[in-house]
Amino acid sequence: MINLLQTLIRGPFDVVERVFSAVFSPNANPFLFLGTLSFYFFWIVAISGIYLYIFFETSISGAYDSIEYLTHTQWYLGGIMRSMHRYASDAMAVTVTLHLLREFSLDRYRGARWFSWITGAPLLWLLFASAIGGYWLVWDVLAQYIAVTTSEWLDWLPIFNSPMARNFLNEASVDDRLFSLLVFLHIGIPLALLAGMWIHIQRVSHSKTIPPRGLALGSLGAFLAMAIAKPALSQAPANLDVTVTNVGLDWFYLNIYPLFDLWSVEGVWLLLIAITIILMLLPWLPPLKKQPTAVVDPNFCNGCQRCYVDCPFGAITMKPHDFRPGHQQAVVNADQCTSCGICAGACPSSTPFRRVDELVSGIDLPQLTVQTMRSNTDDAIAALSESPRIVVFNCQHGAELSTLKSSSVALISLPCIGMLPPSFVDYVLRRERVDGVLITGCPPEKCYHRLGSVWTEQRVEGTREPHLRTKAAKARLRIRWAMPHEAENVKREVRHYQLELARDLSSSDTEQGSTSRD
Amino acid sequence: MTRPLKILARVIAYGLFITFIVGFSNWPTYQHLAPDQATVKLSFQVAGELKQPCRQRSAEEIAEMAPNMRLLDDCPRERLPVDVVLKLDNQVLIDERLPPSGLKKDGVSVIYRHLSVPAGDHEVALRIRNSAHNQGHDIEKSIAITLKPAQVLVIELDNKDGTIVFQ
Repeated sequence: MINLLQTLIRGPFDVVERVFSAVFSPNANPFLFLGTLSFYFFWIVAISGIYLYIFFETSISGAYDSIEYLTHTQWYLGGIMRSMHRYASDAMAVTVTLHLLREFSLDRYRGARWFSWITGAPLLWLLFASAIGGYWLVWDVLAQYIAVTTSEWLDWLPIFNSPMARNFLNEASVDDRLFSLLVFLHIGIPLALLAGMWIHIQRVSHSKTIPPRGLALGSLGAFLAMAIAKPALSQAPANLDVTVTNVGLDWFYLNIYPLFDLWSVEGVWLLLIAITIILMLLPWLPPLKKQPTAVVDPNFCNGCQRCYVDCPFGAITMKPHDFRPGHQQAVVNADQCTSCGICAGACPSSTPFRRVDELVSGIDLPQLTVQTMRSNTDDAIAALSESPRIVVFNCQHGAELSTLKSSSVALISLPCIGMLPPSFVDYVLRRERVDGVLITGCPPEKCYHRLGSVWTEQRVEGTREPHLRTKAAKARLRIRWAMPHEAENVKREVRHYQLELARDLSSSDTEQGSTSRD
Repeated sequence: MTRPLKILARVIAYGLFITFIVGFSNWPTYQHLAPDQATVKLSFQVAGELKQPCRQRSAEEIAEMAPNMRLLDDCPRERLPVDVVLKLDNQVLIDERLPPSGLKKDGVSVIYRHLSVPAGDHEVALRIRNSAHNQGHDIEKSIAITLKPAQVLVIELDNKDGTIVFQ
């Protein structure tokens, strides 16, 4: 059921992301920066909100008039700020919703990642509460409609001695103090939202909260265009002696309100509570099978901090070494470890060239140690009987490639491609044991373990430790990222690569033959 | 994709984004109340009578009490529920028994209801009983009123003089 739902959601995302990557490039594809854009839009809303607050009057008559002044008299700045405040909030609702759906469809919310998911659910309530409070402040007919409906909605909770809706019976019921309270809430709730957003990314290292410059300027320009093309305007002033009949709604935030005319208040509460509970329980529906987590061997840990820096989930910390004074040692927090093995791929001691009987790394996955990786690789290469011989290192979350194994193709599967120490590429190519290497895994923007593909690219390019050791290895290495449903693309790539290698081999044989004849 | 084509595609993408955000931020409008309807809001808070009257404690009872707690009268705090009946053109719209608030059931009874009714001429009657009498109502009032479309008729209780107010 969950798998089906994920597949149904992932399909449209894949299509849209491919199109946007072609148009914007993957480095500025908005669909790959949904969480980042949410942070960015929050800051636009906050800065424009601070400006609006300077001119806002906290009284019944002053509230509407001060916003009218900003909108019409000071349209060139106040009006623009008001529109950007509104449209950036709307865009944030969109990016937050898409971010939630995308992470769900990529199955990046279970296991050790429960924390980010769970802390995200209350943020939805805070985001909507912030926005609804903002509409209230304008004190036009929309504010009146929201005020009356929201108070009737909240009155269902057994926390008020006197119904809150009695404050909005008619014009005589409202007083200026209400606006002071509303302003306080409209500042306090967004601050709580910001604090929640900070908590939300606490277990995500290298999180991006600033979008690429092109995307930042592009979206800012889009909000400016919206502000000029369709400025945010107030509706008629609120008048509690007359019921609101027809009202313009912001459907991004107020979509729940028409339900109150169709359902009972209890029904709406039930719906919202049910959605919240299901969201909170999702990481355990079903729970992710816990794999053994990374283990540090102090004998081989030199405290280099590479694993600490590379871990995508902040599961590694450093402490004073157990028995080497003045040195540090990595420590794994098992609750945060996703068993991706990226730490083992980063460890300088994870090199297959080490001449020891038992190859032990400073940090290793018990279920697939570097020693096992090396022996699996040796066995797979030994079984190759036809040229050109290729070793394919693949990520278990990328394309399904088990049928690729043949007499000329060896397949080594890893929990994440970031677990592959680059020295393994040098290792399999030495003494021409194989003719080529292909690395494949989930695309960097969709990497199941967030940064495995990114780190691998950087290690191969030589911009991140550990590097490839030889230039020859770089020349004989191909990288082809692919999603689970793109196995055929990888297989095609392998076939093409083998044909190219076969051509190279035959031409070098010919050259050697002519050299020996000379 | 060539560079001019990319730029055109980006312009289209931003255009769609702008249209989507501006569109759903403003339209469609929502019809909350039909144009020929008016609203009646009934809201008040009133204390029911005490469920049991005060009684004088006997000398034995007072002697058994701690010296600082010796009060002559024993007055149970619990109040009676309040019955409320709202009629529009002799049709019952609300007929409820409002329990007293508070853990000890010693607080006021509170009601807030809003109803949509057709605009036009109506006779509105409200009856409230907050005592233990079995028949009749302690407070009642009816008026003939012409409700304009979208008008809000608020029915309250003036707690100072205990009269029903239609406004």
